Amino acid sequence: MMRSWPFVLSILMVAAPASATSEFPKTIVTHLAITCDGGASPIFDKQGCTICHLTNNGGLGTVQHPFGIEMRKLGVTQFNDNALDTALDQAQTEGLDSNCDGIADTTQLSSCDWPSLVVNHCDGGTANDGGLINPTENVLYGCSTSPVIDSPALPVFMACVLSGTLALAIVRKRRKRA
Amino acid sequence: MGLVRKTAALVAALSVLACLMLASRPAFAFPWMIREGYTGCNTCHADPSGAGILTQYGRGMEEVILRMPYKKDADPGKTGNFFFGAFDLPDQLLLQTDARNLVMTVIPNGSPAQLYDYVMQLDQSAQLKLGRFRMNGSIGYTPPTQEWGGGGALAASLTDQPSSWGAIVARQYWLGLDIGKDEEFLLRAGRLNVPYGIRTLEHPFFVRSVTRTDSNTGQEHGVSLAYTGEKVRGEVMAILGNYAIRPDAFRERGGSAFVELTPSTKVAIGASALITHADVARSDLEPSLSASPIFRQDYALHARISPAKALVILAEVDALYNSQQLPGGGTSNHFGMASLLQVDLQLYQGIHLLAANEIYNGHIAEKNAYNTTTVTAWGGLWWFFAPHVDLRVDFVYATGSAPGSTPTSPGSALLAQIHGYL
Repeated sequence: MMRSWPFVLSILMVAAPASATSEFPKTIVTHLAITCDGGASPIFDKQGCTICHLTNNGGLGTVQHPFGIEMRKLGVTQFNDNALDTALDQAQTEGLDSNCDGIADTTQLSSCDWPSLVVNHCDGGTANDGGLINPTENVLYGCSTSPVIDSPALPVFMACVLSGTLALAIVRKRRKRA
Repeated sequence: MGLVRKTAALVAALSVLACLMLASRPAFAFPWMIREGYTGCNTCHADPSGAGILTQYGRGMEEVILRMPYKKDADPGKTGNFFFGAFDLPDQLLLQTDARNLVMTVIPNGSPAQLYDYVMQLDQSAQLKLGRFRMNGSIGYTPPTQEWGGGGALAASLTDQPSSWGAIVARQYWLGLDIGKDEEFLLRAGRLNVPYGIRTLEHPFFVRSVTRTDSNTGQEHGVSLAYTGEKVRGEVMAILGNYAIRPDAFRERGGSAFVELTPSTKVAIGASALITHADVARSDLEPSLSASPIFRQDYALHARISPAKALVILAEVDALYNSQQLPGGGTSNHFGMASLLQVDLQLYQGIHLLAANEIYNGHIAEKNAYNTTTVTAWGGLWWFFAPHVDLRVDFVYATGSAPGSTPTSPGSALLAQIHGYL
C-alpha cells in the first residue's frame, strides 16, 4: 500500500489549467454592445485585461491603468460582473475620462480605441510611461535588478530537475528494498 | 527492474506535468497543534515562530499524530522522511518540496458562478545547520496568471512579475545563529515571516491580510531575535523593508514583535505589535489611502485554547491605525479593527472540521460611508488522508473584502485544495 503513495501523490498534484479567465473584457464588449470595424476583435485583440491591468496576465495589485483605477473607485471587484455593469453605466452617464485625453472612456471603448485609453494624459503623463497614472507611485514586483522570465526555458528546466530527482529517489528506494 | 524503470518514467512524466501546471502560496502552520500539548512551534518547524520547513521531529509527528492512521499503533518507519525516506539526509540538512493546488468556485451575489484553478504553491525549501549556524531558504515557481492559474506571490518575486512565463519566488531566506545553553534564542537576518499574531495557514484571513503579516507573501527583510522557553515564547523584528517590491518609497520600515504565554499546555495567550513607516502608502491595496507618507500601527491580542483534545479555539482581535487622513477633506485618522474566531474540531485523527468568523471595519470612528463592516463565515473539512498529503474543502460567505486580501464582492465561494510535500 505504502509503495503506491508517491504514485498517487503525483497523480493528485496534476492540476488542470485555469478553466476560466476573467470575464471582464467580454462583459465590457457585451455591455457596451461593441462591434469593431476593420476586422478588429471585439474582445480587444486578446489584450483586454490591459485596459485595467499592467499586463494581460492580470493579477492582484496590477490594476494600475487609469480606467482600472477608476473602475475600482466605482465599486468593481474581482469576479463581479454585475458591479462592472453598474460601473460602466455610471461611467457612460458621467462621461468618465479616466486618462484625461478629452474623450469619454466608454466612447473610446465603443470605438475600439482601447489602446489609446491605456495611455495616460493626467498629471503630465505621456505615451511612454506605460499608461501609469504616475509611474513613481505604482508598485512593481521583483527586486530592482531582477530579470523577466521571457521564455519557457527556466520553468521547463526546473520541472525537469524536480522530476529527475523524483525518479532517482524512487529508483534508489526500490534498489534498497531489493 | 523493468517495472521500476517504467514506474520512474511515469512518475517523472506526471511530475513534469505537475510542475508545468502547478501560483504560489503558503506552507504549514497549524496553531491548533496545541491540542497535543505543543504550545511552541520550534519543535516541528525550523522557523521558531512557526510555518515553513518541518524539522525531522515535525515530520515524525505528522505521521504519528496528524494524519489519519489506518493501522493501530503502526510503526511509520521512514515514511514521514524526505521523499518518503528514499534519501537518508544528514542530521544537519532539512529538505522539503511543497505543492498545493486550489480549485475555487466563486458565486458573487446576483452573478453567475465562476470556476478558477490556482496553483498556490510549488516551493523547494532547505535548511543547513552547522553547529549553531543556520542557512534557511525557499525558492519556488509561480506560473503566469491567465494561462495556468498562477500569478500569485507577487510580493515575494525574485524575477519581475507579471510576466508571460511566470516568475521565481522566494518567501523566506535567512541566516541564523542559535544562542543560549539550550539554543533557546535564535538571531536571524534575511527575509522573514513578520512576528505578529497567530501564524496560520489561511493567509486571506483579515487579521493577516490587513496587517500584511501573512505567511504567503507578507515576509519582510530584516533582523529578528526569537526566544522559545517553557512558558514564554516570542520574537522581535527590525523591519528593513520588502526588497521584492519597488520603488523604495513603498517599502515599509519599522518593527514588530509578539509574545505568547502558556500558563498550561492547553492555553496560550499572546499580544503583538507592529509599527511601520513608508514614504508612499499602498493605495493599490486600500483605495481610501493616498499616495503619500504613512505610519501604520497594528496591535493584537490573541489566544489558542484547547478545552478538550478534540477542540481548539483560536481567537485574535486587532486594533488598526494609520496616520493618513481620509480623502475628501476628512479630519480624522484611519482607525479600525479586525477579528478572527476559529474553531477546529478533530472528529478523528486526521479529519478536522473547521469553522471561522471574521469581522473587519477599517474606519470604525467615522460617521460616513467609510464606516462599513465586513463579515465572513467559513466552514471547512480538512482530511490528512495519506502520508505527506492533505485535502481540504472550504465554504466561505463574505459580505465583502478587506485591504490586502483578494478584493471580492459579497457572495460565496467553494474551495477545494490539495497539498502534498516530500
